[in-house]
Order: sequence, then C-alpha cells, then structure tokens
Amino acid sequence: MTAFATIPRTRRERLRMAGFLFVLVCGFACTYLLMEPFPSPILPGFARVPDERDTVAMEIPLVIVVSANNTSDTLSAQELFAETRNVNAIELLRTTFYHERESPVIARAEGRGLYHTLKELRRSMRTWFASVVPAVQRSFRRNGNIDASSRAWLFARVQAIRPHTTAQRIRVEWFETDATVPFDIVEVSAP
Amino acid sequence: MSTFRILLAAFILTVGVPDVRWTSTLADGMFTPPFGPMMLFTGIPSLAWTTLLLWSTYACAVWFLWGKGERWSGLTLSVLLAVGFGLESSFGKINHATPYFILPAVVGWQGTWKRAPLYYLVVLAFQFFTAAMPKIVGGWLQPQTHAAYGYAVETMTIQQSPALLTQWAVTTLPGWFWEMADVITVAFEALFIVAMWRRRSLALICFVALAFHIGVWFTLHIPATGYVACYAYIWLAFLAPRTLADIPPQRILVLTIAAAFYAALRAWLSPIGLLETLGLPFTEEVENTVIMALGGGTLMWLYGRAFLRTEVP
Repeated sequence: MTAFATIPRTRRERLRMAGFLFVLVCGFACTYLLMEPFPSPILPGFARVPDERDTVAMEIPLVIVVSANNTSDTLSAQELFAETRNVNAIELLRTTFYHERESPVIARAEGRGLYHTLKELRRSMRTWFASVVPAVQRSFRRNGNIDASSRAWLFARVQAIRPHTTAQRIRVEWFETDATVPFDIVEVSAP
Repeated sequence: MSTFRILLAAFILTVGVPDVRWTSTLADGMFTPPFGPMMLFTGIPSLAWTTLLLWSTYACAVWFLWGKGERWSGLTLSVLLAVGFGLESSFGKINHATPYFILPAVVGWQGTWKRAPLYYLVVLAFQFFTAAMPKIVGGWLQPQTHAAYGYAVETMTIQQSPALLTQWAVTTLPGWFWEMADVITVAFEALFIVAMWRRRSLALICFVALAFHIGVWFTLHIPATGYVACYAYIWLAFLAPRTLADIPPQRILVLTIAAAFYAALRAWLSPIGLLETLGLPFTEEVENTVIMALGGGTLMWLYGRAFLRTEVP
C-alpha cells in the first residue's frame, strides 16, 4: 500500500504537479470572485465572525401565520422545512422569502478592512458575471418577488403543519439578534 | 487496494448514498442550482426520477463492489453521487462533499494512473487551504473574536439543531479555549497543503484534521462521515504497513453482505416506518455519531501511531 511516494520525483512530475496547483489556485480566485460552482475543490470559508466582544450577531426569521379571524400563529424555519435533509432551513427561507437588501448583521460584519474590500470586489464582480451569463441569475437570491409555486407551497405546508388553521396571509419577519423590530418583512397573501 | 474498494463500496451502500427523494416535496421556485452542470435541471426532478437516481447509485455501488470494470464503475458511481449531492446543494447551501464523491473514481483509476492518490491528496489539501483564507481575512485570528463559539451558539439557538455537546461546550468552555479552537482551525487548514509532502507531517495534519471533524460534528453538528472514508483512503495509500495489502478481500465478505442488508433496510423499509416500528435506531444522527466517533477515532489512533513511529516508510 505504500507504493505511492508523496513527493513527485522527476522534473516532469514536479512541473505537472506545479501546473495542477497553479490551475487550482487560479480556479479558486475565479470562483471566489465570480460564483462558487458545483462541483469544485473548495470548502466554505465561514468567514463571517458571529461573535465579537461577547456579542453574537445573528439573523432570526419568524414565520407568522395570520388566520381569517386575525389570530396569528408563529412557526420556525425548522418546522417549515422539517421534511428536508441536509438543507439549512434558514438559508432556504432566505433564498425564497427575503428582500435583496443586505441585512444589518452581514453589513456590519463586512464593514472591516481587507474582508470588506474583498467582499465589495466580489459583489461587483458577481453582478457583472450575472449580467454576462443570464443563467447565473437563477442562482442569486430572490428579491422579494415570491413566485407562484413557492407561494402555493408555503400555504400548503402551513395547512399540513397546522391543519386547523386557515391562513389568510403569511409573513416572514427577519430580526437581528436582540432586536424587537424586524429589519425585513416579506408578506405573502393566499394564492 | 481491492480491499479498500470493497470497503468503500460497503460504506457507500451502507450510509454513503444521498437520498434526495425529499426534494420533490419542495416548490420549483425554491430550486436554485449552483453554477455548473446542475443548471441543466430546469426545475426540481420528479419523485420517480430521484427514486431512479437512488437505486441506480445503489446498483452502481454493487457493480463497484464486484470489481469487474472498476474504472468505469468507479467513474459512474462518482458521477451519480455528484448528481445526488448536486441536487442536495440546489436549495441555497452547497454541501461540500467533493473529496468523498470523487473517491470511487480515484480508487477505480489508480491501477491505471499511479499518481491518482497523490493528486487526490492535493485536492483535499487545497480544499482546506481555500477554507483558511476567508477565515484569516474575516477576522478569525483576532483575539477579541471567538468565531467557533459564535457558530456554536448559532447552531444551538438559531438553527435549533444542537449537537450532542453543543450546550455543554457553549456554557462550560472558557473564552481562551474557543480562541485556541479558532487559531488551530485556521492553522491546520492553511498548513495542510504544506504538511502533506512528508509522511510524518501528513500523519500529524490528518490527525488534527480528524480531531477537527469530530469536534465540529459534536459541537456544530456538521457531519463529515464521507470524509472518514477519505482519510481511511489516505492512510491506506500513504501510511499503512505493507502487510495490509495481503488481506484477502474474501475476509470482508461478511461485512459487505451485512452492509448491503442494512442498506436495503435503510433505503427501502425506513420510508414506510417499519424500522422505527421495530425500534431499530435508524437515524442519520446515530449513524453519523457512530461513524464519527468510532471510524474517526480509530483513524485518529492510526494516524497518531503513524506519526509516532519513526520507521514509517
């Protein structure tokens, strides 16, 4: 089992390996600036630091179901997407029921030095990339315009979780940690 | 390496096939495939399609296990696994399983291309490098921030998905420990690509990587079960004693049959609730915990031993 030496021995092998590493580095630079493809040899950076000086900054979504008699009921993202596997429920909610503007949590995390500069560069590069490759638009976040299939799904799902509730409207409210007023509200009327 | 091929096939049959039949329960509007070949899908595939994908992947894993035409069975298996993981990653978050799903192709082709394990190791090491860079510029190394702590709190409160030790870790471990976790994470991710070129440093960095994966599973609830297979392969390819090569594949036939039996139960009977009715502990949670603790722990021991042994070839 030890037939595979770790370091390439010949000059040709070393050049080939150096070329391979060069391609990987260039590919990473492109995907960092433009868009993460699948499949790709990269891992998530988890660059955002949610904790600073004992304060953890996060976004909390609440799904508020308003019935015909004006009573309301609250669901979590996890309840809504309980049937999925290996999916981040909040991210899925964000992809579908969220406005395009940046949340205060992310904006605050990005407002620092080199990280901020790279994020800004990436944002502008991605916008350009989406303009020249229209298919990429589909991978971007929704801008608050909820499509008919998601709207119908949301009401059907709420009906399945709360069979005795007839939802008139469903509101997805996004809060910043410890805030009492949501920074984003996406309201969906019954289809 | 035929022993490893059989073990890998058994692993894939047992816990390694992504079951994406749940995707058909979501709305087409939620389908946001990542940039790449998954964009060829114009909407969420039907339940019949995802069921066919699941069973095709199982059939291909059996073909791979059998060993006839291992290059093509490995390649096909990798492609089918990639489609499964690609569908899973088409709902807002990419699941990074590349080293896992390319492994059957690497194992299948290594007989033809002797350098395949080395290039595979480079891909794995480079992956970690790409994770380290954003952390460094994002502020993980600043002493006043505890990024890992923040993610653990987020897992417990916002994601509402605490792992076995999340609550204990968040409430008990001191700030200096979390800062140390931040620094070690960034250091090992950045240094993997440097350490992989010598066998002893490779053993050490893989030991740390496994400790990282196990720690992440038990605190941040991010599974890395596929990566356990990847580290097993790296150990066999670069560090294992030669005597292992002489183990006849027939010896693990019983294990393979048991794996296939469990896989059939898992994929076929569980959706109708039979396993739960029988009280069998069928949950991904239990599977992941067993694999991470036992598989990952055993590999840590092997890598630790390889590092300490001066006669490592």
